[in-house]
Amino acid sequence: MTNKSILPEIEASAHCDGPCGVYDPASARIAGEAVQSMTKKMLALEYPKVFSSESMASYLNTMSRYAAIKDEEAQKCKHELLVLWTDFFKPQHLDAHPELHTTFWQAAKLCSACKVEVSATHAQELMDAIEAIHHMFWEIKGRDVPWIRAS
Amino acid sequence: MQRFIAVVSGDSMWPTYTDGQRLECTSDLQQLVVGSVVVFIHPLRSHLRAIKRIKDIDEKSLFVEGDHPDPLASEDSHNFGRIPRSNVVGIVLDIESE
Repeated sequence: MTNKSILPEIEASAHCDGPCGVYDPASARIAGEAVQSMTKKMLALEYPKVFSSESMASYLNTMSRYAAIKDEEAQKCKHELLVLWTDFFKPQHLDAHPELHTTFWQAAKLCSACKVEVSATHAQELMDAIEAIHHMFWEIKGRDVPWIRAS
Repeated sequence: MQRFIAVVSGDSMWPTYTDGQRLECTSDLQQLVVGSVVVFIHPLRSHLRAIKRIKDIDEKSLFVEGDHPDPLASEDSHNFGRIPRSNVVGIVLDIESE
């Protein structure tokens, strides 16, 4: 019978090929905050009180820039979420987080909604979904990382 | 015949073996067959010992694969190709009992 206490010990790597250690939902959070910020700016932008070529050009230019940034950041946010969903999260994580797929699906849909709408409600719901993903992610990593926002 | 303990690091063998699990192995390689789980020298990183299951075997080499159903969860012969038989250092016998 083998005396197990004296058996030599080695580490057997069972890792994936991807950069397991460098995923972070912060990328999605920053993009999501930009979407929310641009949405708020668009809703707050006042129509020119004095109508002129200059005032209209300025208004349209500002609104267009806000819309372009909102669209771009929403797409970026969706990309970051999809990478986390499909690459980082694994089937074994569903046991502890059965809501994982629904959360990501809704978050991705909210990114699309924020692109086609100017909705403060959907922008906030997107941030709520990203916050939920933040908590799932760091719980799986075994680290207590508080939810913070840059804005 | 020599016995040793392989401590699993990572989830590529989930759900069969999980991260941190201690596996009793043998260096007797006479029973290398399809289905066996083996510990081997990584073909592209010689300092690393990896653990996978044999999916195919011939006189010179083995095709090894992780058990994890997610294709992204395992770096195996799908990435680094077949490994030489000479890279195998052990066969997993069982989970170490308490």
